[in-house]
Amino acid sequence: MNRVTVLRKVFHSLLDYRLGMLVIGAVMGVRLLGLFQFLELAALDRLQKVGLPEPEDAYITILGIDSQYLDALGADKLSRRQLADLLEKVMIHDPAIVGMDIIEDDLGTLDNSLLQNVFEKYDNLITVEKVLPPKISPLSEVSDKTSEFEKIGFNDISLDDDANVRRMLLGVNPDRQSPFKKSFPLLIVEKYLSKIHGIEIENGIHDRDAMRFSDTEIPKLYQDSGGYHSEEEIYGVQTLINFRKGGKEAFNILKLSDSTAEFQAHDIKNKVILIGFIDFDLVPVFDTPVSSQLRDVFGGDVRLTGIELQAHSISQLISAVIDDRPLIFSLPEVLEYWLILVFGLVGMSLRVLSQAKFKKKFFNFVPLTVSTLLITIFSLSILFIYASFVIFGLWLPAVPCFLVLLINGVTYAGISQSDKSWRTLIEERDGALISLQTTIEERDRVLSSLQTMIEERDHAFSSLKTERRKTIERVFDAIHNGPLQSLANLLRRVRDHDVMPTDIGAELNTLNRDIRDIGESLKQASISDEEDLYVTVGKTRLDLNTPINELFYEIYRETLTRPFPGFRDLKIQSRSFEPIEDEIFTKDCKRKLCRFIEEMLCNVGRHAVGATQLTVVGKVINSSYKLTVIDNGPGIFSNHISQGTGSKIAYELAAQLNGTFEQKNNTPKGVFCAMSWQIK
Amino acid sequence: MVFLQGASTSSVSSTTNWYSSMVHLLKEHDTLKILLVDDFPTTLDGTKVNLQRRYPDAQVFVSETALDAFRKLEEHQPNLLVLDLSIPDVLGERPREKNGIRFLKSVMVALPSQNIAILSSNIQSLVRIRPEIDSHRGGFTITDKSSSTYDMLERVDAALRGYSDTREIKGFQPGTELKPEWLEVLNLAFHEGLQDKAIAEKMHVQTSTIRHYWKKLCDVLEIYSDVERKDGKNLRTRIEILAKEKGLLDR
Repeated sequence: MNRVTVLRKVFHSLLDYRLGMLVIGAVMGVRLLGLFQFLELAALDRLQKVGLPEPEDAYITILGIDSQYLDALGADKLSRRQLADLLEKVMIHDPAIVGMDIIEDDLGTLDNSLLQNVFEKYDNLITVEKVLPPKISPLSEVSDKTSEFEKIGFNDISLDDDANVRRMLLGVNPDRQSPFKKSFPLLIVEKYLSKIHGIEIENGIHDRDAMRFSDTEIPKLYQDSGGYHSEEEIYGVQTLINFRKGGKEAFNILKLSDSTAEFQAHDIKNKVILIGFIDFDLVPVFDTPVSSQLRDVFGGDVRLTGIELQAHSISQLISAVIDDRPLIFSLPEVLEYWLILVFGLVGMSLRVLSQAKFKKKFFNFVPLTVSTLLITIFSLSILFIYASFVIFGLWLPAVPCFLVLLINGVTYAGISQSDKSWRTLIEERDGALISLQTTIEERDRVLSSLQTMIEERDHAFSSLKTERRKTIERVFDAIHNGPLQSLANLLRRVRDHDVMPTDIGAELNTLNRDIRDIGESLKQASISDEEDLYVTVGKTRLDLNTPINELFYEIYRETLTRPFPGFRDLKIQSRSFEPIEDEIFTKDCKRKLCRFIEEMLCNVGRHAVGATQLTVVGKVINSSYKLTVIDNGPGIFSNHISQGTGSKIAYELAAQLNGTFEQKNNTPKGVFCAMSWQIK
Repeated sequence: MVFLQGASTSSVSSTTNWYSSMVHLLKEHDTLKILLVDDFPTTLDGTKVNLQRRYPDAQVFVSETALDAFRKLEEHQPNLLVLDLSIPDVLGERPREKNGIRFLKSVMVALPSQNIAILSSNIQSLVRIRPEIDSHRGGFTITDKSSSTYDMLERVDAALRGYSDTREIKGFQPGTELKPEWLEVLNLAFHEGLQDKAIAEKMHVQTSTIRHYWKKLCDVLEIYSDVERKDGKNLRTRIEILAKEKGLLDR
């Protein structure tokens, strides 16, 4: 890989991650603008709704005033006397705290002295007021007594933009002059814990502005806590309500219409008793996370009345302190954004995770595709967020996290897929290139083998030519050295009148046979193809593997038996052939040497009539071999002798051996022939 | 082939006259050793009996194959090799003349002074190795198996004494066939009247070589009778006469 492609790769990956970061940034921005609040609150509702139902609350009993009760009393409002009677009946059983979510408008106007007695008699009786506009004063029996402010808690409800109740007020400063006021539920919880468990309210440790009972700090809700972003202001001290799961069965509600007789002691003793209206006809009702429209359709109207809402608020605080039931809290905002970043990065990492190599290394045992990978991660995240909420009450920013995970996951899975298809394309292209290469190589191979075949054919042609030339030469040599010599000899004898007619017949007969023999030997040669290994001299067939000096002697012996006139008067045949290392000769060269010496001897036989001495010597002199044929015949008279076939062979041989051939008249008489060549 | 190195110092002794008695071999060696090579049992036995009768004190070794003959040559270093050409290389093979010729050539290369007597029914194949026979310095005689026992023993004896007798393979050539060196010896001895030593100096060879040449010339000129060979003075005259008759020397 060269520099340019590396750079391009880096650039590309930067581009890719820039896209992912852009998505994360965009989601964070949208969240900061508060546009996710609706979705995040919906997610919170979902988290609240899902889960196993909790057992009925053990600390609270609600005494519900319903229409039937009022009907039975024969009035459209509860009279003060009746309320005082009810309270007295409750107090007999020694409740821990009694809270009345009842205001002036709910009661008749007469006999307020009786009720006032009850208020003065019992410290643990608490009633409500509304401190935020529109303000509602508490019951007249307590409203004008400032010393009684510990008996009045405000029952204002904090609604979200979608008219759902998700949080509770703990305390407010209604205006600069007024003292800090505690809410109805807080007041009840404070008094209950103090009375039953001896736990007093304190300031928070982590958050000084928060409230604390023992080691349970009530998380204070801020403008930007969790999913909240678009709130202008969180009024006073608020916290989120972790609604008790179980719907209408979450609390022990005793309808007064059903229990006109005596109350059971176990319902009342040391418990928080809440008295309020529970009929939808009598009081306003509220939507909460646990009462969505869908639940309404299937499970009846599960909206909560004010008293139920207060019960949930009180219950969650008491349970948190006593039972360590989780309160809803959220991470510091910075951490939330880090979490979003992490989820975004996980989404981006899908590209790497789905790479074949990585998969091989870590997920070889699971057949993971990108989509299954994405689904797996998504499910695990949901599980994580849900578990965090259920176990710790931690409200995580699920929506933005899932959003960046999904967008980045899908995007980068897609990129990875396109990477893969790119790779496939490139591989295909490479494959095609390779097969093209192979094809070209094959073509070259075919071409070269064709070339070789052509060369072989040419070679065969040329060797055929050589063979033909050799055959012709061989035939000519055979004729020239055999029958032609005999013929020349016969002619000479006829001219010399040195022959009888009967001899002529015999000679011609021999000639006839010789020529036929030649034909026969050529036929044999063509059949056996072994003629290369032999040389035929006269009637003798000699093996060319024999050492050359032995061949010389054989030829010498053979030739000297022929009836040449030049041999007739020989007295002395002086001959000697020294051995030569004959690996240096080719078969063809050896054959030529044989022909040469045969030819030289025939020359003597033909021309050296009357010679008495013939010397044939093959001798090593210094580093050369010298083959000489000397006779003492009449010698050379004309030039014709050196133009004969014999001389032609001699000169060819001299050229082949890189040697010299010499033919001249000998002193005092005769002919001297010599062939010499280097042997070392 | 190098077997039997430095085997025989026998053939020619340091006697001053080349024509003096050739039986010196018998005197130098305590016992005469003869190796007889023939693969045909009947002939082998007959020849052996004849040889034993002629040389009662001699040890006669017998070989039937070329390989065995090599071994025995090396082991016993016999004074004389009596050889039939038709022998097998190893036992069990068909006897062939080719093998005998090859064996003979090897022996002549390795032991240039070994005395050899050929005893064969087909001696014409020896014509082909005529040059090698001419160069061989030990005794070399050829006897046809069909010749008489007397002739055979005569030639075996001649071989033992270092003579050559190759008359059976001559006669096909128009003239007298001989080596140029021998011709030169004749010329130097009779035209220029030189003694052996002077001839040797002139030809750049050992004196013993000149004596060897004389023996070969006896064969060329067909001087075969014992009487003639032993009479040194007369032998030289006889050689001169015969050489002139055959035209080897100018008259």
